[in-house]
Amino acid sequence: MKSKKKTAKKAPKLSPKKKPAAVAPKISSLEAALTLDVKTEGLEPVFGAAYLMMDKAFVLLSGDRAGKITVVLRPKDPKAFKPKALAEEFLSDLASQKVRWAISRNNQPVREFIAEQAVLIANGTIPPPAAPAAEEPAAEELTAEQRAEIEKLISEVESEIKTMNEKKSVPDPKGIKASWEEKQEQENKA
Amino acid sequence: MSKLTAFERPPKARPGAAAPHQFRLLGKKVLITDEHGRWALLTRSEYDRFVAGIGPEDPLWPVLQPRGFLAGAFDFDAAARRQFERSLLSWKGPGSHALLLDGMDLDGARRTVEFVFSCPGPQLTLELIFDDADAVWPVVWFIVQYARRKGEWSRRPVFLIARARTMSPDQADFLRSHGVTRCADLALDGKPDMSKAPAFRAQRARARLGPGAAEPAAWARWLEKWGFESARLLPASLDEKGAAAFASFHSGFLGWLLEHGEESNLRDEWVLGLLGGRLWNLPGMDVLEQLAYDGAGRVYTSEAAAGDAELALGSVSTLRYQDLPRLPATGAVIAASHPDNQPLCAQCAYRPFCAVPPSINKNYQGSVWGQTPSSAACSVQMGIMDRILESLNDEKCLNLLNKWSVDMV
Repeated sequence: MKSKKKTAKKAPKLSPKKKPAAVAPKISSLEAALTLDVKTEGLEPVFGAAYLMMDKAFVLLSGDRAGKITVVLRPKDPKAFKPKALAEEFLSDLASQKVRWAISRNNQPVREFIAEQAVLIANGTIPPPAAPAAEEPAAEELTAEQRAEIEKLISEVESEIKTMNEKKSVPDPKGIKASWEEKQEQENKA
Repeated sequence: MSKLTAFERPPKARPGAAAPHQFRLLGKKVLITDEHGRWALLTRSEYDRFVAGIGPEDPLWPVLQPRGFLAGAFDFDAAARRQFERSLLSWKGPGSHALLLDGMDLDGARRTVEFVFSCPGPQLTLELIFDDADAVWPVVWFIVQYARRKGEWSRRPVFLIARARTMSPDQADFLRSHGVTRCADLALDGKPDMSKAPAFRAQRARARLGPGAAEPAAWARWLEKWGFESARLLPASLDEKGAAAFASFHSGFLGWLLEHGEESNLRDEWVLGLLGGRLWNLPGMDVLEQLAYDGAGRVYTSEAAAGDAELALGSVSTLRYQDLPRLPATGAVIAASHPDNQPLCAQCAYRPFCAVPPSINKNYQGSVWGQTPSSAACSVQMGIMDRILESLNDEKCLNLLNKWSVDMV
């Protein structure tokens, strides 16, 4: 009991806007520790706020998920993040997490119903919303004729490569056949 | 403040008032989105009223009721239809196939194209990726011809993209005449030299920012001048510094597009991809949007996964499309890519639009799941979404998105 009082005295004051009355953070130069009542704060919001801290801090959770949970925040970069600031940020996120989870819980039956209906649409139990699907593509089996065309294509590639290598330039003094790239090059030179 | 943002004084959410939604603080506004991409930008006091419960007499009612944000006036049938249309229940198969051509021979090319066409889906996009066209030209030539014929035989639209650093005028002409979209792999550093043309004429730019990339508006003008129709900017590096530099540059780039949207034909591919609003539209999303094939005929979950043995799915010679669901790598990347399975994404206002491909997570954070709070890739995409969605009440922005055929419901 004595140690608890001592802890409470040592705890620095946080911004009154962000400090829920039930939370008394214990802050040292290395870390911040917050003991949270799961019934008051909710388990999901505590986990959610802890997860969000992972870019700035190592987060250690201990305790009883039906009673009290202790969250220890240790900065990953002590120069960039001070334990007190981390505790403030955690409490701020925790408060918003409570709103997010409240909205989520309030609407759980709605989301479940929508998901169920969407599955029923997908399996055809209720009519699909869009026009009938486009005609299925033809089977990918190649006919003998198509196979022959592929072989012909490959031989064409080979002869094309030969032609490309042997191709001689045709006189074009006015640059009519010049490509866009060639024209740009000429303009830059000019 | 965490990535999700937090209220200084949180409001109280009354049961039965607000329908399912996520919120995000954008400056003095509160952005709310539902799971299907509908949105509203509210003031703080409006948001407080909204979650406390409003009636038909409230001026917010006609704004929020048609968008499905009010629990008391919720259209369940419409919501179920949207859920079906935008969830994986409507997924038809990977639509984009990245063919890494370096080291590929003609027989490998034929097998790869045949595997691509064994994938279902209403249309297929084949992106041929190479550095120097001279080194792989016979393979490019063959794939273009063969894929076109395969498209006709299977009666499916086929889109071909050739992404390269260099190609000759003849090669560019051949691609142009065969309806292949040309994409130039660019490196943007310092300020642009307006008189210097890109290596070849292309409709699309994939532009990686160098560490000294500056003057985004000037780069936008440069891209516009040389006829690019769209650009996808990429950060110099995916770390905290790279993400911050990218956010600043991209914000300036988007600012120019917003300012000159009426007269410019240049589009931002990030915005187009993210605001598509479907997981399988997100560029590079493993298996859902993309499969990749290397020169040796190996199949990977995406281009970013190429070379990673853990994300290899098999060989084009032996793998069958119908085997993909049974492969552990497929299950892992699909589970990791779904925002419902990522604690931060599940609560994010950008959840209907955004997700980081698991292969990117693996490359930069060591696992397909990654760790979203410290993910630079997440920061990059969130920065882009912040920039565009904070402008959504602006008519200029909505006109621009309309011009780009982005449907912001």
